[in-house]
Amino acid sequence: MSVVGGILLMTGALFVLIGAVGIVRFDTPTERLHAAAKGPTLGLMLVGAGAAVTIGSAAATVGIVAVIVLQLLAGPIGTHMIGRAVEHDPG
Amino acid sequence: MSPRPPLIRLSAPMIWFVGFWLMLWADVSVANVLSGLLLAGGVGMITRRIATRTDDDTIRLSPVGVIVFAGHVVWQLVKSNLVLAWEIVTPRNTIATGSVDVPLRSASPVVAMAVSNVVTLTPGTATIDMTEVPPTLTVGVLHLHDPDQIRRSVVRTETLAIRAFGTVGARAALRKEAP
Amino acid sequence: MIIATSVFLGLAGILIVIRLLIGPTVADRVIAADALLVTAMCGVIVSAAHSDSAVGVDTVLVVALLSFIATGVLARYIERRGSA
Repeated sequence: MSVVGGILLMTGALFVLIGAVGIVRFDTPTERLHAAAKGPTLGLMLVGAGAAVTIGSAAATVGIVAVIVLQLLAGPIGTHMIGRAVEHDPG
Repeated sequence: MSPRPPLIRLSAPMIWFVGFWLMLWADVSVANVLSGLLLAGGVGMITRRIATRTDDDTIRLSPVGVIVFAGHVVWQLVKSNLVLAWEIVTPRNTIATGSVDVPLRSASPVVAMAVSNVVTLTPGTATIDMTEVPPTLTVGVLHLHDPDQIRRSVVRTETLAIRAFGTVGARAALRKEAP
Repeated sequence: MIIATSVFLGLAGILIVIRLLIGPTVADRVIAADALLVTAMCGVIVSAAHSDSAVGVDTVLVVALLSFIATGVLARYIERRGSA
């Protein structure tokens, strides 16, 4: 079981790293916004899944599910708000 | 739209609220349930002017639809990350950014929010703006080559969302479209 | 495997901090701060998995909520007062 968990954790961290590279490498705030919206979200999901598999206790799994649900709901909303702010930027 | 919303009403959002509250406490006890109900009632009273309900607003959850929708979301998220990884390695050009207006079929806030969130998680697209009347979603696209393809993809997401947790009215409209 | 995971997250954190320091506009810094918080959340979850206990999960939940609120407030600030 911990092998599957370990792979999930590592893959999740890898996607976070991909998102981070995108944030550094891209040239405009909009592109960086896209990278920050997609990379860390999937990374967090995979890391959460890996931790839930590894720990296995009900309390941990419920907490991790709550974190993932919150990120999926609130993350894109935050992205949208920044996207709008970048568009309507007065200065 | 009722002229004066009732003071308090046991509704599905309250149950979700209490459920989430219990999940946060990780402990289902009488005290937690009661405090959750109190809080849910309080929040409901404060926001009752914002949330008005019409008759065809009852949301129906379909378990199969929800599972299909969840799979769709995860697949889109994985695709976005693969596209992101590819775009990091290849030389960039930022010429073709644009925005596309997509008319939505249902004005249900739950479906609209679900679609808006999934669009942000889809490769190359992010929600920029949303208007309620008429229901329209404005999508910002990184590499805009074909606006119609973007529209089709968003409409498909909306179809899956309606099948998962659409209102009775929206589902009926959906059935009328595609016999 | 824990080593690889930690290295990935650490590298990601360093890169994001670079953007946080350089990023010419305020929006860049807000994006970087949000991503940095998510990276930190992943770090806490990985450490919880490593020590096989659910200790930090509540903290992660609170950080997620706060980061969302902070991002929203900062986004409104950029809309009103402008960035750069």
